[in-house]
Amino acid sequence: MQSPYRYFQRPSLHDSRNAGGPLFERPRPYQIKGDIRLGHVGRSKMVFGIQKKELAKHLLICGASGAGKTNFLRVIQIELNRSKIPFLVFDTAKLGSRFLKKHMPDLMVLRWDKEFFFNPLQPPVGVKLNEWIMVFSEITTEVFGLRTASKLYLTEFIQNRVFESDGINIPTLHDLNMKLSKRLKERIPLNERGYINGISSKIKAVCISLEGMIDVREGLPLPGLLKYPVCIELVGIKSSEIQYWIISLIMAAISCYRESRPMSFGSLRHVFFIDEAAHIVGKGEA
Amino acid sequence: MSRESFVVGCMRRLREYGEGIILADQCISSLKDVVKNNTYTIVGMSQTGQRDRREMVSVLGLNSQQAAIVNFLDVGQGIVRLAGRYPFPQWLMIPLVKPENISEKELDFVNSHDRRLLSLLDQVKFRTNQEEDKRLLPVKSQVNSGSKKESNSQDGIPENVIDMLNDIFHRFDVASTKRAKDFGLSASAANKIFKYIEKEQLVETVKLNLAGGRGGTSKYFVLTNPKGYEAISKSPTKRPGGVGDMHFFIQRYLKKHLAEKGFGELEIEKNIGGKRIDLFGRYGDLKIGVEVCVSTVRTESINIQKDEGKCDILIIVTPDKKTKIKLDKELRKQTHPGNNVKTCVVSKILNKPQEIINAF
Repeated sequence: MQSPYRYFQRPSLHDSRNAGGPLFERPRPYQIKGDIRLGHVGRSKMVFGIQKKELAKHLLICGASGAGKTNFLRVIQIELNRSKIPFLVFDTAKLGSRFLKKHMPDLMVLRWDKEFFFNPLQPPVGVKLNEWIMVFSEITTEVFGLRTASKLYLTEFIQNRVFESDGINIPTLHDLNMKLSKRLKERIPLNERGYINGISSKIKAVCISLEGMIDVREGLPLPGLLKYPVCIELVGIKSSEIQYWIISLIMAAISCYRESRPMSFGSLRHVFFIDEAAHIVGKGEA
Repeated sequence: MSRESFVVGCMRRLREYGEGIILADQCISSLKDVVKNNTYTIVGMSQTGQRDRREMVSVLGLNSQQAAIVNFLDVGQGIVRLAGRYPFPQWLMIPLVKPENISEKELDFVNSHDRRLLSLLDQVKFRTNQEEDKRLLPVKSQVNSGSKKESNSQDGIPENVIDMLNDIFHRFDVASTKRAKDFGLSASAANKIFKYIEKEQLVETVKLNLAGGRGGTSKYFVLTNPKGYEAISKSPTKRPGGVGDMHFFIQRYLKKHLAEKGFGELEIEKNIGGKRIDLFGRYGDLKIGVEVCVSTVRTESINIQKDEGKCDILIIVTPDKKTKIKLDKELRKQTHPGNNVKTCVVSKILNKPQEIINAF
């Protein structure tokens, strides 16, 4: 199979005298040997790689727009696929990973409006319902900038009014939206009305934006998704707030699911990609 | 507890569980310090903002000479630094991956044939069954969209159903399980399509054990209804009058498969001396007549009397053992068939035709 790599025509720094010169120390090959090959050291043929267990300690890429971040992410995805490590990547603004489908036939591309189904109220396998409701409320209130009191109200509301009345079936976000609207029509204290107004405005927006994607009692099984290289395309969801709410919830679901399983003690099992990370782990100024 | 700390907490804990996280952003300065300090591998690419440049220099531990080139890095170049094994910044040349475009239609096609995805989708529980039909069928069916197919889907028949009907038209002798396998569909996904074509009366179902083993019966589909032919814009197959679906299917199946077993000149409803035989063929020099008996056991004896003289060997084929026993009983009661008449189950003539012929 033809190599998917092609090199840029101008592999030089601004000052050509610095290129590959003493500006950076020249490493010994064993010092930079690794399973995941990131690129070449300067102009030399020496390959810079990182080990799988090092990737389990996370990786950060920063660069201005057009610096080649998306391409670098693609390189890492190809390398992970070569090493048979499954990963989950989200495309939020532009279609990046689907163009790797021909290089990586294994890649599963799920479009939010076609193949991807997710019930945010469904606890991941092995996670207690109440525990998950707490996580859901926490992420929902924080991503949407709701007050802490709303978080507690939302948790109680889901526990007592949504899950209780629905019996065996797992309710969907549309059910929650309906229950909130119904509650608003009742005679309720003013402060409760305030909480519901805040929560309902956000949940309603999510229901309208995501429609069928969240209209499922049980979504795509998380353990199944963690087995393959998967790209979830959220392109087309106009609100970035909603996009990062989904990503945060999925990340939390993976975290809760992993915590209910035995530890791997540092050996890499799966990789999670977050582009535009400032939305999730930023200082809040972006 | 703040939102950031929850996600950062996730990041910390996930390392123990083998979950690696790759973060990417435009501005290094907008990320929380705890994230930068707890990441093992950091790759800095071209940065132009002064604040970001300063931040990158400090995070990557660059000296003044190295710091000077941060905003002069070309596209595809970066500076990488590992936290432990090789804690010195290093200039990195990243290869370019040439993206290959894939259209929505191509992706539809690929996804509708991806068994992994279909099996995952089968586990999705929709709020209502109606919703399930509406959402899942198009996902699995958006295969080829020719003009004819489009017009059909406008009539309300999903395209995957049309594909299935076309397959039934061209390969009538394939069992439903094999057909589902060939389409790359899971059992439940295929069942949905099969139920649809049965419910809409586009096909008739025939259950037969043609392998002759203990595996039970397989399901076969027969295109008989004009509605089914209309859906795939094909003209109906010529069918003799007065025969049922099972009879019609067995006749065609035997004609196709007996040819592989050494039979020649096979012809359905051959007229010999004014009497039509369900299937006529030659085995060596012998003229073989095959009559298919599905349920009209009582009238079959008349058939036998008429056919007996017209061919060397007459084989009466029944779909199952029960019918064969009934037929044998009836034949013994009503007539005394000659030595050249034998009854057998359809699977036997398909699997051991020589045994039957040698018995005469």
